[in-house]
Amino acid sequence: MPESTETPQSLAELAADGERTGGVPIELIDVVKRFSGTKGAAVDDLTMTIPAGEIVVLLGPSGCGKTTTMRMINRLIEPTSGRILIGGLDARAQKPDELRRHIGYVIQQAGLFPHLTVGSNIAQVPQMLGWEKDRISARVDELLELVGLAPDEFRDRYPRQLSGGQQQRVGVARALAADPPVMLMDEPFGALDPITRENLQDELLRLQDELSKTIVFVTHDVDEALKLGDRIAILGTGSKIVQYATAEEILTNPADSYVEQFIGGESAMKLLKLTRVSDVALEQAVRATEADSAADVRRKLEEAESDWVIVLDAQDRPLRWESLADLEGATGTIGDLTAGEDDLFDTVISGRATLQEAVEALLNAEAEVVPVVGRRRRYVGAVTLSTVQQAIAEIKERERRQRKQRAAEAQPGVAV
Amino acid sequence: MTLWEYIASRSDMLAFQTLQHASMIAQCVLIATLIGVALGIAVYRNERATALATGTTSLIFTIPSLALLGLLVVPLGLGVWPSVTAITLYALLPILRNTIVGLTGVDSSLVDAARGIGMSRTRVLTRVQLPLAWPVILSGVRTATQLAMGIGAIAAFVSGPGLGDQIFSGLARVGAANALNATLVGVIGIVVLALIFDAVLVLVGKLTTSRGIRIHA
Repeated sequence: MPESTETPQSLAELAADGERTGGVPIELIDVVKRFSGTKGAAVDDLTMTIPAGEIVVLLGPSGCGKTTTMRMINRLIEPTSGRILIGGLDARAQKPDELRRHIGYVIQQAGLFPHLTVGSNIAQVPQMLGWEKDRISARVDELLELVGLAPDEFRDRYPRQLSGGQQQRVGVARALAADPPVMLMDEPFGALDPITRENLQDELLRLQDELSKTIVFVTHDVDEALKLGDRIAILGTGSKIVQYATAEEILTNPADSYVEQFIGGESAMKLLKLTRVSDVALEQAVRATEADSAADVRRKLEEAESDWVIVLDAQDRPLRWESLADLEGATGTIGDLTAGEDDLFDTVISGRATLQEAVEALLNAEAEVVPVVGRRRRYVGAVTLSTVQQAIAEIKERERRQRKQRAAEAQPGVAV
Repeated sequence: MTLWEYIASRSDMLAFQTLQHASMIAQCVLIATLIGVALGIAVYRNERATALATGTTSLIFTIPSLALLGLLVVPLGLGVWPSVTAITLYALLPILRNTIVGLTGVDSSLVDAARGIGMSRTRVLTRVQLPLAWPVILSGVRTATQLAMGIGAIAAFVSGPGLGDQIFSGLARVGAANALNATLVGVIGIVVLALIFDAVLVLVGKLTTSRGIRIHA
């Protein structure tokens, strides 16, 4: 497509512009929704910006208006007043049906049409857009592949022949069919068992890494919100934003007692779940290989004032620990020390693991320190309980500093 | 004269009457299906309209068929017209009721999903709601067909076409030669027709219902 100088007039044109459509921002401006026959407004003067390519979670108790808010974005519910801009375009200026074909929509229990095959379910939007048959079937297979279902096996099955998790994967594939810049997800994993739910959450994050859609995700599950949301909007009655911030900030600095109550206690535990091992400062142990001489290593340990050395193989993969005591009086190489010993590592953790998983590994391994590996099991550092403790303290400290800074910026000219 | 001799001696006429009966019922049920489904679609979303439509058809249902046929003779005369009108009116109720039940029974989250992915109202109806309601509607059509078969027999009272003629002429000449034979032929003929129609409708159901909703996982 040649560079067009005209600005797109609809989401359809916007979506057709690029090869792969990344997200576009969504702006809600003074949005109000009143249902006839009810006293208060379901959504009371809501203004918020959802940045392009981010997952924004609307989190709140049932009846707070979070679903209503989401459904106004694709005009399943029309706002009483206010404006909604998607990619800078007024949603009201576009035909609702056409608008919706370019906004992915995923609901609880997937909402697949039971009388149509999986393939046909996914093909619905492309069919409405008038794609050619070949293009549709190629797209269906591509999407099935993307959500982790083998096309040959699943294309011709019916929804009732699938498990709940598989159905929701198809639901996501259907929503992605026309490569929409925006996805709306209304408690999509709410009806699934905990294990399947976790799997699909991980899968969604993986997909999002690849696709960078703007995703509005409604849930009342705090853990789900903290895990998925780049940003979380905690909503009170009438869809009033109580706090709109990153998970970290909400945990370390809840806006008020409502938020505190809503996310529950154990915010330190939740931070553990949120923070990745690779994001914290790791212990650096003295390294050695099988070929190093024991005397050299002992000298290095003494220099570093450390009792332990980690032995790595030729590809930098961790093999085992050796203590200063073992090295005492040893001659020859490190490799000579271990004839017959089977103290090889069975516990290593990946840098992608969360701190919670790291703590679990530490407790299970009966070791005070567990090596952390990166790509191809390459050693990158080690983690101990005090590493974790320090990391949490640092996050809290950082948030506190940021808060102070923001407070200072908010009151310019006031001497502190 | 045995029953077989009776049938053999006037096989042409009996075959004609059977065909007439079958064709009348088929056409009446077809018309009733078209009207019933259309009416059902028109009213199912509005509680009051639904009550009005089912109320009216139920009211027609309570009128004895003989009385309705008699009443229809006044504006429509004797013969085909009052018969067809009466049968169609009776067949309407089960079809209309099942259409409403079928359409309201479609999971509302599916309609929401269909709207949410950008289907127009018409498309939601034709692609999602009607296919899902179809088994229920079809069972209404089956009930209506059985009902129409019986009422079709009574249509002979107003000189309507079909096998009813055999029954009525037999009953009118009770005790006379072949009176029993005529009545029996009429009754058995209608029963056999009813069974055939039902079998055909079951087959139609099998062929037109998606495998996806026949599966119960």
